[in-house]
Amino acid sequence: MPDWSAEILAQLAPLGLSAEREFEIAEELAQHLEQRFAELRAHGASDADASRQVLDELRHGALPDALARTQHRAPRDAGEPPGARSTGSHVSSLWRDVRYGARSLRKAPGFTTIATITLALGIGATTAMFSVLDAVLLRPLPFAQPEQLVRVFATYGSTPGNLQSLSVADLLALRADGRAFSSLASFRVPNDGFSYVAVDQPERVYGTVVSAGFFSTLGVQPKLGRTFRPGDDAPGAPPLVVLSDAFWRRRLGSDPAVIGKSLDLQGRPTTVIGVMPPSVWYPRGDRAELWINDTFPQPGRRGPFGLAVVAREKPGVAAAQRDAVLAQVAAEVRARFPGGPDRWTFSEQSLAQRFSGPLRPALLMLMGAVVVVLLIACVNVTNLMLARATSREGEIAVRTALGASRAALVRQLLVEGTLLAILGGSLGVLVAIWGVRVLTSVAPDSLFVLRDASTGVDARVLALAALATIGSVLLFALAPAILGASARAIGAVREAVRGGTDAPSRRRLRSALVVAEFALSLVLLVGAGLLVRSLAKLRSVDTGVHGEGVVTASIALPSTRYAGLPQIVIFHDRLLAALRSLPGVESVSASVGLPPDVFGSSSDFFVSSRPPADGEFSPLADVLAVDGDYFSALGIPLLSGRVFDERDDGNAPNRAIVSRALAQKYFPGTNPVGERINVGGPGDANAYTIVGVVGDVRYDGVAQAPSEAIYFPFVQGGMGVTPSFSVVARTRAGTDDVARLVREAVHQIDPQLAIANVRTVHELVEESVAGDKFRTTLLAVFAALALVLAAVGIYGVMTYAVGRRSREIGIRLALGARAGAIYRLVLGEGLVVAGVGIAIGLLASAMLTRTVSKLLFEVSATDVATFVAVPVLLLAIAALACFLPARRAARVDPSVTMRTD
Amino acid sequence: MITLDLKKGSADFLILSLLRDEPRHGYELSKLIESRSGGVVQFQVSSLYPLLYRMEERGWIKGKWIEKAGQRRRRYYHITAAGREVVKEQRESWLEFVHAIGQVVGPAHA
Repeated sequence: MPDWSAEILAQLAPLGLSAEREFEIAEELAQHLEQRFAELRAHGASDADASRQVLDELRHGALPDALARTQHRAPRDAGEPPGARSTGSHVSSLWRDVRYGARSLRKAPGFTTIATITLALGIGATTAMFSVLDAVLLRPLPFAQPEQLVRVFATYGSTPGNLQSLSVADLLALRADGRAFSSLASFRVPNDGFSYVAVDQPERVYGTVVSAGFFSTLGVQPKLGRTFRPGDDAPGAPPLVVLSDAFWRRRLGSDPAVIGKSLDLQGRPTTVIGVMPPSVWYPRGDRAELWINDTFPQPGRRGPFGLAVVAREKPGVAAAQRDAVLAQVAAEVRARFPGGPDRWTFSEQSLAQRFSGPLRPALLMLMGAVVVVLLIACVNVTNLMLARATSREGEIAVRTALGASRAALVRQLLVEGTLLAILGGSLGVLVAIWGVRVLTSVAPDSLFVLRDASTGVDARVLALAALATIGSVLLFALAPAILGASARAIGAVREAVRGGTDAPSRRRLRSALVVAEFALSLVLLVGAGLLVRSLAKLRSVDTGVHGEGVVTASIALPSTRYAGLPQIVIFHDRLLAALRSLPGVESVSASVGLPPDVFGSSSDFFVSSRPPADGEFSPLADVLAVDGDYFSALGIPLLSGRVFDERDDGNAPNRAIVSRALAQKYFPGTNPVGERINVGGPGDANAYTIVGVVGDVRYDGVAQAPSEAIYFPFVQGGMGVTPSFSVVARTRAGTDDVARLVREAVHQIDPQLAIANVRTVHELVEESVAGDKFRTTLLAVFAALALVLAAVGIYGVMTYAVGRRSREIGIRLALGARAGAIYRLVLGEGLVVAGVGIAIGLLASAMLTRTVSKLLFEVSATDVATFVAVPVLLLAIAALACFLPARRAARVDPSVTMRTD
Repeated sequence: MITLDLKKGSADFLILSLLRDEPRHGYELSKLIESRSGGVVQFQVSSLYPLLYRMEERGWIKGKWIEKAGQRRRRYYHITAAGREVVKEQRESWLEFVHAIGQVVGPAHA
């Protein structure tokens, strides 16, 4: 009796049916033919006659044509539009390939889902991340010839990193000289912004106070009106303002006739002279609502300081030449204002470096993470496609044997790969768009460049990520055609269909890919683990205060109505008295600085009995003017002497309180109470008697050492008094209620005043670590992504391996192997692969984590806990991912698996 | 109304009628048609199965692999509700046809 199935399959081959459907039809028809054969034999025909008769009947009616008229479809597809009918044209055969591809993807939902998710995450997450990094690190600054722009600082002593702000005298001297820079300008960003009264309700707006040459130095043009002109910063110049596009739109309704109008800013009528385009956000994107002209009276001394200076290098002036000029100008300033420190000069730093410099290590690390995740995604997709290729070998071999041309097969496989790529790719684009949106909205203020409206999905990066992952899909989509289908004869088909064992070379390749995945994930996880531990340490740093129940808010008094110390002191007294009377409030204070990273200013000082020798540079300390019960309000302990009280009024001699760090360093082994220090200069007028020593507080950021701080009574009007300050209220009541009450109290005293930054001390600390939190979260998300992909990878490989070996496992079970042995077999194999990957990853991590050491706070780059916990976690995940296929293997029914052929 | 594609329609009709009482597999259907028509109507494998698949696509019949003790699995077809509707309609149009033919050839008997 002939092999009816082979004959039927040969007839079906041109139809391009799915393998499953082909086999189904072959089975049904073969049964019919067998019965027909038996019938003919029973009627006395010979074997040969009966065969011929049956084959004639099979061939007679042109079975393929007849079946083709049944729309080439599996029954479940009934109901598709008649337009889908095949007519044999190219378009319709492509359409048929598409439908066939879609069907075979639908039939393997696990494969399709995992491949799609891998593609989407691989493309989307990496594109989003890279777009953000590109905006911060790689995109040129939005200025004319940005490479010529530098920031200018004063450098004291010989420490190269010591970059201090300039004074008015410095600015004017540099501007007058003109040899080093073609133009330069100053700016300062008031912490508390400006009060802006639109109708009658005061609001707080944020902006920058700049010198006249600010915009011309940057080389940016307004979209309306003009920018500042020389002379706009002369003493007595009228207040002018240049608005940002955002301010103009949001608050002024894009008024086209806004130029020449007057706004109430800081209590002064201020004339609008220009509106900038949206691309101009310098110097701080989060504080770029407006720019106001600074005015500089002729200085009588070198100070006050606090000016940031940006300059444009003169083309053709060599760096050495410029340094010489700067040293000369510094010498001139010293000669004009003697008495200050004399070992300082001007130094410069490129604007681009200034921007990305501090962020660079973190961003490079994240960029590395992006590349790793992209690699893992490619590896995963490759692995999935390879596994699928092997499992389809049978189907492909049968189709080849039945006459399907190689070109047709390749086309079919390509179409299927393309479908997958389109599915994963379009999802990836969505992930990328969403990712950029999320990243830019949660980015901390230090990454404000991101708020720039032009930060979007980077098309080049999207293309690159898509190319990498989709390339892997398409390349390995063709694997079955390359690997299996080339020249197999029908004889080989049976073996392939029966599902013998897998070719060892391919199995090794897949294992190697999983090893790579685990190694890469481990590196990322170790990095993330280190950052998480570092962040935890940062958050638990003792800032030196007891912040529970403490509410703070910042207030800036406009100089128009609060011209001098007396007015400011009266306001303080009224406000503190009002706050003290509030229910639940225990102690209140006003201060120019707050932990963990707001201090008023710093100043040079020396112990009065030990003035510095000639040429010796005095040390710097944070100086804070405080009012009310500052130390008890913040819970800063008094270690010696007393705190300020009513004795320390404007008529009393100068008094100061110092921090423990300062006391220990400059009064070692003695009690400094009663000693005198000079702050800001020599002479009795600058001398202060120390009345107390208090605990250390961090004012320079949580990652910095506790500040050497000097506190002054506000009412004495000496060092550190500014019209902007923070109020501090310690309360037993809920902090929300108190925040509201503080607002009301301020409003009652002066309804024109705006109040800003109402925060608890805990929130201040959280805000100061926001940058660390952001990058830690990002890396953790990427590490988690890598972990998921690696787990999916090993799960896929083990599931597949178990599937291929089910016959072998069935035989083992039939021969008496226990389930435990099967678990050991599968788990052992998976864990060896994972273990090798982990070992390689550990080596790589040990080499690579040094690059993140700059980002770590009190955590070693080879932190033992991290290097133990991460591999254990990864092994556990691997075990779990192998456990599921192992359980499936152990439940194999020997009688079923051995009968499958 | 009488369909012009009488032959094809009649093949569907035959198969649906045979499936009205119980599910049958393809070989059984071909044998039944052959024997009940006294050998006049014969279906060969190459025409029967395409017909069955087409009817299945149209939702008139449904094939199902059924395994019986000691036998290989076989594909049995049973009639669907839609199929029963079609039988009813075709039966009516068939009777109409027979009636019409009777009218045409009737005068000979008159």
